[in-house]
Parts: sequence; structure tokens; C-alpha cells
Amino acid sequence: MAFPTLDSFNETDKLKLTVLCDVRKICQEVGSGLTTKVSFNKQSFELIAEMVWHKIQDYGSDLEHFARHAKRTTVNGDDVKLLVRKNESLRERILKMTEDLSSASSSKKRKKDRDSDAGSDVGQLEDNPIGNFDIDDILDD
Amino acid sequence: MNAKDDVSDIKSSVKLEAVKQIVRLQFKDGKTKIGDDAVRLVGEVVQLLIVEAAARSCNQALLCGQSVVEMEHVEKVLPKLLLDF
Repeated sequence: MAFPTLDSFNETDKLKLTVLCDVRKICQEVGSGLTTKVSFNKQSFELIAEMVWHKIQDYGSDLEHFARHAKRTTVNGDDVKLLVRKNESLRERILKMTEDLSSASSSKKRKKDRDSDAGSDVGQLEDNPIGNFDIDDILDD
Repeated sequence: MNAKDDVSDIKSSVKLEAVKQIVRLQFKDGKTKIGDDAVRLVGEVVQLLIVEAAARSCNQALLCGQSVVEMEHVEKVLPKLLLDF
């Protein structure tokens, strides 16, 4: 039997694995940051990853509906604000982050105007490709 | 109780590109797009969701006098967590 390679997974499986990896790293970091060290067993972070997976999917369909209701085809920050409206502290945090992002983008624009070399301005999203997770992380279980 | 009191101290983070892809898979209309700022904000929400799930599960395990989080501890905190997010 051939050993499964990363290419043999479909896109959904790869995304699920990416989420699982991230959840595991964050869980371990949270657990080791406590005064009494706590570790997670495999089932527990798999359950959290499953919950997160479904939650992101929910966010996806909600955001599309919010954008369509506003007669837009692009989801923007306002839709995310609507998404978190029920949790007061989360809403405040997102509002603050929106301000930071808009001030950062306006200062970036100013910088771009001053210095016309646009080629050096690579966005943060591009250097974070999805297939870039560490295979050793998955295999060392 | 927490040595790391601020969520921003957590160095690991979710991959924004993955979040973007999962969100886009849910779009029924092929014309719908998502902006970079929106992806960052959703990423932040997801990051907080994971940290909160981990922290509450740890707390539940400690309350039960154990130092390993098991599935029952996560199950116990899940309903309240889902109401908060």
C-alpha cells in the first residue's frame, strides 16, 4: 500500500489538517502558560478543532448573507462587526482592531504615494500559504 | 491564575489563508469575495475562540483535579462557549 502523500488529500482535508495543527499549537501554548501545567490529550484538541471548523463555516455563510443584505458582493469589516455584535468584549476588541487596520492602511497608502516603489509592498497574506504547515507536526503523534 | 494574562501573548496563530479558504468554500454565490481586512478580523475572532476553548477546558480539568484535558472537560465547557461566540 502506498504511503499517503500530501497531494493525495483533497483541499478540504488539507484545510482541516491546517486547522487541527493550529489548534494543537495554541492549546499547548495555553496549557503550558498556566501556573499549573496542563496538557491536552489527542481527543480533546481534535474536538476543539472540529468545533472551530464548523464555527468558521458558520461564519462564512453568515458573512455572505450580511454582505448580500447590504447589497455588496465583497465581505468587509462591517460584516464582521455584525457577526460579533452579541459578545460585548469581543465587539470592542474587533472595533479597536478595525481602527488599527484602517489607520495602518492609510499610513501605508501615504507611504506608497511618497515612495512609488510598489513592488516591495508585499501583503502579509501572501507569505502564509495554506500548504505550508509542518508535516512533522502531524506525524509525531 | 494565568501566567499569560493577555491573549496577545499567545504566539501561535491561525493561518489566515486557511481561514479565508474555509470561509470562501461556504459562499453560495460565486461572485462573493472577501477583503483582506475582513479575513484578518475573522482570523482574530477564530484565534480568540481557540484560546478561550483551550483556557476554559484547562480550567475545567484543573477543577476536576487533573492535569490532562480530556474530552469530557471540553464537552463540559462547549455549550457556554458556543453561546459566547
